[in-house]
Amino acid sequence: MRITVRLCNFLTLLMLFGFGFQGAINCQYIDHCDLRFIDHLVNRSDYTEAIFLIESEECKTCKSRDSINYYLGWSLYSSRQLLKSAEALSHVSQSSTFYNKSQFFAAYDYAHIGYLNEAEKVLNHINPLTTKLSSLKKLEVAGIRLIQKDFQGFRNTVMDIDSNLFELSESYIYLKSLEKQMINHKSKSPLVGGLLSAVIPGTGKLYANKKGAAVSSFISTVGLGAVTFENYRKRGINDIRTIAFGSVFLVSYISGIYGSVAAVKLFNIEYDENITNTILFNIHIPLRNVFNK
Amino acid sequence: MFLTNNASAYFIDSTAIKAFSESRYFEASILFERAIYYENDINEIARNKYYKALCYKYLEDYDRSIDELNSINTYKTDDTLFARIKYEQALINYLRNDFRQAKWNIQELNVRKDIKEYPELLVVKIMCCNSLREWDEATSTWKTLINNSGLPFESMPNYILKTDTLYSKGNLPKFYSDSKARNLSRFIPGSGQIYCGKVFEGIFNFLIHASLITYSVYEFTNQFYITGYLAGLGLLNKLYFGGIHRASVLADRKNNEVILEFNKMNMDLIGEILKE
Repeated sequence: MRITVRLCNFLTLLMLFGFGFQGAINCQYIDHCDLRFIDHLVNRSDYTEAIFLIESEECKTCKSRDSINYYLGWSLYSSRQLLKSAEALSHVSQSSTFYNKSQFFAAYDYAHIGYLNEAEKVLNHINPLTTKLSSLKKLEVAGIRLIQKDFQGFRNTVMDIDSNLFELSESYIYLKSLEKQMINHKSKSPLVGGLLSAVIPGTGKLYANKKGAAVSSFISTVGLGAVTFENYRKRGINDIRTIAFGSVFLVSYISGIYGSVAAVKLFNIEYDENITNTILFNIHIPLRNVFNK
Repeated sequence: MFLTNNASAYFIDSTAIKAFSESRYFEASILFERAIYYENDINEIARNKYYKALCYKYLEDYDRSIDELNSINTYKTDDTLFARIKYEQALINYLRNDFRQAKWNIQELNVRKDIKEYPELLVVKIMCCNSLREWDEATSTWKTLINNSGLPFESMPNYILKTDTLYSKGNLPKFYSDSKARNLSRFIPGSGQIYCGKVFEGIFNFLIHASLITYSVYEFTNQFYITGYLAGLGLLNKLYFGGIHRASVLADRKNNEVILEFNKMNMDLIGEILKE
């Protein structure tokens, strides 16, 4: 009898324990920050959803801060919110398996939004344990130097890169050719652009490589000039039509000069932006090659 | 650490349904995705995907909604869920102006079930046929809808008569020809706009053209050739081609309005049937 009662008590305890355990898991399942599911969302490219979960109350108290920061940073990076992404990724600690990837991408994020000093600071903190990572770090630093137009610094950094690594070789060669192109490039003068348009309307825009705008500016200004001249010759300077056409011509002529100065300035800015984007592209490809296999 | 059993999946599912019923659709879509992720049962996955697609529909993200619906494996789903999936696919494709695909979705349901049992699908089919100007098919679908709507037998002929009147030749929407609008504006500037119902715009357009031509002729006769050519005809050239393009845009816009108006008349008739 005693044995039966003890057995029953034991079974009851076992059942209670069992249900309690199941309940605890169920609660944990709902309440805790579900990193496996967040990983699934990130892999599905559902970044907005992943960010929503990571920023929820459930994840604020999650102890796996490195994983949280990594997934948040990666989702923000993929959603093109680069400053926030850099901040999240740079918080991933050295003990995490995501450390190297996070730091390199944080540096890239900073470089992309023009925070070049921050990017370099993040890169300097990385202690690469392999030749590949060491070369990758140097390539990233070299890219930043090139954006800063520090050609000597670029050459000093690029020297130690192992160019045989297939993940880096193409970008390495391209960055070196970009350096030559940048050294040989001469910026166009806005003053020359303005003067050209003052002599022959539209030629300043041609100098700024805007062929369509040049032709349109030439036709409209010369056309209005011809109309004004015709009215001036036949109706005289005091006629209202001569004054009206003359005013429109003057506006077109002056705006043509101003437009040429602006077009040349824009051309220089576009060239610099284009070069910066090409450099960023070439320091991004090796990151993808190394970390996203 | 992570459960994959049915009990836990059910637990997530219920929170998803709760969020859905409270109109927190974005949150619900995530919870349904979580239920899909941990679920093994193919029917449960289909059901959760269906609800997730509904969330996107209410968020007006029709592309994601249709993607989610298209990803459902309907091979083993029960007929009720299958019909609901096909209805949503047809409706969303209709909302995305993909009328042919919407009709195809309805046809897919017809393979497994008789669509006469689903009046809401017949309504979508009528709207699609109207948009595609397939009047005969729209009329026959209307008749099927009336016969299967559960209306009293004696009032059915009345509604069939109303449908016939709605789709009679004189009552059908009159569409504006794009090429006609363009050609009219090509020969008489502004007349394309008048054809599309924009009378004042057409007259204004015509007057501007007439003024510029008059000005050009006046300058030419006074031997002001450059002024007449550049200031008169140059400006006229721009306005002329712009006017032709505008007539085409107006015809297109008017056609959309016409079909919307006709569909509204259809919906009024459906409203009458529902009341009865």
